[in-house]
Amino acid sequence: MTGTEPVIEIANLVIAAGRDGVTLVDDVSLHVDAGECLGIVGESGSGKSLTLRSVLGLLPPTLIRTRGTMRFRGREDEEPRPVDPRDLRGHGVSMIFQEPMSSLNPTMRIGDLVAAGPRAQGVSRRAAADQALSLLREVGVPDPEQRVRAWPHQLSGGLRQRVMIAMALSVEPRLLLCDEPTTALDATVQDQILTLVERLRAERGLALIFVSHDLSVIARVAGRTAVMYAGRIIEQGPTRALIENPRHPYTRGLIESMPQLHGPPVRLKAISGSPPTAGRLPSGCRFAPRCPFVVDACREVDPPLLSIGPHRASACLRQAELNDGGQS
Amino acid sequence: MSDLSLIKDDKEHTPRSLRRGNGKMAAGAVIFGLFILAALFAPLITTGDPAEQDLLNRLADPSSAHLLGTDQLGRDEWTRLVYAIRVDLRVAILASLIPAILGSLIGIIAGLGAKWLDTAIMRISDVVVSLPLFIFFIALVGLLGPGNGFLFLGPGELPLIIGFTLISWVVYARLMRAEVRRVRSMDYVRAAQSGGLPRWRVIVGHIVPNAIGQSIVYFFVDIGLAVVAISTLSFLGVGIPVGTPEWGAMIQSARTVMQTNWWLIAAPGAAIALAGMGLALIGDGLDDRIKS
Amino acid sequence: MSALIELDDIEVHFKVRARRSAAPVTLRAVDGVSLAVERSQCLGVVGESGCGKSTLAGVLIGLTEPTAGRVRYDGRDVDTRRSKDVRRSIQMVFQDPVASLNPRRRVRSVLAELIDYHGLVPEAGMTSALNSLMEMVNLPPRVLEARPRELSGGQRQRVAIARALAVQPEVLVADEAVSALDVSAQATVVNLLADLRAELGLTIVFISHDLGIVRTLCDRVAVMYAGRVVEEGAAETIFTAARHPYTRALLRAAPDLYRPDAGRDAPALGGDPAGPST
Ligand SMILES: Nc1ncnc2c1ncn2[C@@H]1O[C@H](COP(=O)(O)OP(=O)(O)OP(=O)(O)O)[C@@H](O)[C@H]1O
Ligand SMILES: Nc1ncnc2c1ncn2[C@@H]1O[C@H](COP(=O)(O)OP(=O)(O)O)[C@@H](O)[C@H]1O
Ligand code: SF4
Ligand SMILES: [Mg+2]
Ligand SMILES: [Mg+2]
Repeated sequence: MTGTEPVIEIANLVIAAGRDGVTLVDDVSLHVDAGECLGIVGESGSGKSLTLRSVLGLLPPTLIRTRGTMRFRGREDEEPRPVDPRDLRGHGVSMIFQEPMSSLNPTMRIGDLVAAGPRAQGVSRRAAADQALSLLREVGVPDPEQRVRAWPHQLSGGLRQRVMIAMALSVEPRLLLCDEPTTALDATVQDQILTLVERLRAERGLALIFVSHDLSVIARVAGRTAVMYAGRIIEQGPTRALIENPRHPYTRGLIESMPQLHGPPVRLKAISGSPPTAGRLPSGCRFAPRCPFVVDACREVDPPLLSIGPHRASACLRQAELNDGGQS
Repeated sequence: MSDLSLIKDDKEHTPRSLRRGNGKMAAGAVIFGLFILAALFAPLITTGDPAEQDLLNRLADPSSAHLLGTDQLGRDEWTRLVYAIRVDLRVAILASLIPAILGSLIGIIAGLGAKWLDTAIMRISDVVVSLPLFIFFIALVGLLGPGNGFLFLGPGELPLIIGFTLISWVVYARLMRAEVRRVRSMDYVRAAQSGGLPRWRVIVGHIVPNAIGQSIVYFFVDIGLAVVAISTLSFLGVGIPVGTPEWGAMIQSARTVMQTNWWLIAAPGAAIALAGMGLALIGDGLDDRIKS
Repeated sequence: MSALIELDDIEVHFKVRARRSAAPVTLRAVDGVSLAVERSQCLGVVGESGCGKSTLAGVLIGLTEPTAGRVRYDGRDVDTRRSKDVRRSIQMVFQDPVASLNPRRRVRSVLAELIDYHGLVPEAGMTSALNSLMEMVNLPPRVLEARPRELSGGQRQRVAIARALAVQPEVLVADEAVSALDVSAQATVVNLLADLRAELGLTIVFISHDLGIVRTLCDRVAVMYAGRVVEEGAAETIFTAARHPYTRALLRAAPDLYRPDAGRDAPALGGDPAGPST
């Protein structure tokens, strides 16, 4: 099932370090439909996690959201309405993190952890425990009847991540936020978790935002992808199209620097230089110092993210010339 | 592959909040620095002789001639207060420095040496911690008396330093042992080892510099604690003998005139508190700096 | 020609206790590994977390004593008490770019200490030796004056490579040397290793869990599972015609940019990867 109306819409989000501090996330807008997965990809420090955390108002205390509106649709038949991020915690939106160990309370048993959300919403102890059991079964924890009595430290990384997903699902969210949930896991375990996330999206009609620095992971789970660079979304579009025909030199650079598993082995192409420090952006296009396509005009204006076709947008002055230009 | 990216600007990268500790450090250093300066230039800012008596002018009120008045023997209180810095800080620093050096060496040996050596050292330190050594020590000093001094040390100073050393090496040894064990498995130490450097160079050049931070922090706090402890013991009569310009001893001898000349107690009291606070601030600031 | 490095039935067993009071059990971190690496070859070692890769690397560079087995370097038996020259010949680049550089030392001091100790260049040649090392790893010479925390992850990893190269080794053991880096920084470091191999004839043992990178860089691959090598062969053979089921599962699990659904029909490998056997 694919909803036609977004579950969540974020417009013009700006996150800064203090009132007039350095801008860390700059004018980010995005939306996700029910049953859809939006991928956010970018190098470390590009602002992926901050964007995601701000949906639940979970920013670090020194940072503030200086601009931006958020609209959320609590039920299928409802109109989207403006919301306060805090009100969404445990009510419609859940989040899972990279490090499952530090996000699971070590003093609670697995069963109690998963039952805690429903209990807080007034579900009876008995019903919450039953629900926890079936959730653990749904996310593929083997022997859930035994595991409910286990402590978090007794589980492997993959199982902990499944427990975290079960906790996230226990409050029946419409939107699930995933911040690199598989980065700390082994390839085969990552594969299992990605399969699970895929299945939950399809079966439950969950809306998902999936953040990763690895475009090939995003390619597996996300139908649509936003590429972030130095705090901005610089390209957006259906994942397939974006990978096959990137319309921003940064996206293209990311793709070309990835090693391939098929075709003849080739030398990797690195993007020269490194991302700018927050607060020290170059004038004009923020990618200009590293961009192989840079022209003088690029240093004069900061190109806005403009629509360049159905569901696609790019923030490059020369995006038209990139169209099917390279990328065999 | 022409990557000439700039070196990141260090200051820019450390958020201001992580560089706190500088304020505390500065405050502590100013306080401690003033004490040291006063001790060094004591003859210039005082009457010059803490023992000089003016029996006609006993228990005088503060005046321009006697900034803090005089004591029961007519000695200038301000002069005694300043000269006491020399005694108190000398003893406190030595009573912290010697155990710091000894304890740290022992900790390094325990952390990096053979297993039996480690076990032996840790058992001994357990014993030191569990015995009421301090009480033995007070009793012993009380029995033997302060002695006559030693080299540049005045009467009562050597027993104090020995006593403190016997007790507080343990803290440094344990701190250092834990830190050394943490650092020795860091990749940069493994890298230095696999680079073929001899063991002592790895220890001196790579392990110790990265393990010593906590001990230095504690060293400064420890001096402050020692100032308080030394003056307490002297006040109780088992430290520096009464008559010496020493804060605890000064409080002890002013006890009887507390009602009328309260500042003879308040001034050394404040000096003890201020010295302790300055050193604690330095330690605290260093700690913040190390942790950021 | 015999291989430059030969590992013969290497075992590293640790005695571990689950609790202080529990009886110790033997943990077989490396359990009978035999491998050979030819001069100027690049051997990839892949496998999941805890399968014994780093432990094996520790044996290679002589910091971990194997409980059984032999290491031969250039035809001679070597162990943890190896000569200064043998130690110098096998160098390592570590995984964590933060932990692998001494935070209190400037880059220059770390490099100069090693060069100086081994007496590799005369006193007067130190500056030019350091500059050419920086050039080798594509860093501007002023990085020499930097402390580690002033450098980005990719730069640190290149400094770590420079430190390894400073003592003019024959063999470089890279333990997950690019795992902590962003793709683009990863690509520069991988290319650098490929160039060094071509230019200096370095022999490389490249430990990684990223099959794509191993494919780009290595000509032979060893697949480890629970302390053992379960498959070893020419890289192309492993990637196109893997025989061991674990190798195939690993290949299937690797996410692929252009074939996100490849192998999706086959069931994912069930359960957790086996830890070392005890
Ligand atoms: N000194 C030690 N004492 C006890 N167990 C150890 C020790 N060193 C390693 N091990 C164990 O040996 C096994 C192999 O460890 P090793 O570090 O070689 O794995 P790895 O393949 O490098 O994993 P990763 O990919 O996570 O780095 C692990 O189970 C580890 O916990
Ligand atoms: N608590 C904080 N205080 C100041 N800056 C922060 C804080 N957290 C993150 N940042 C900065 O915000 C930017 C984006 O961070 P983040 O969203 O975590 O990046 P990522 O894309 O890797 O998830 C980075 O430049 C980071 O240094
Ligand atoms: S606007 Fe110019 S500098 Fe920026 S990405 Fe496009 S071509 Fe490159
Ligand atoms: Mg992040
Ligand atoms: Mg490892």
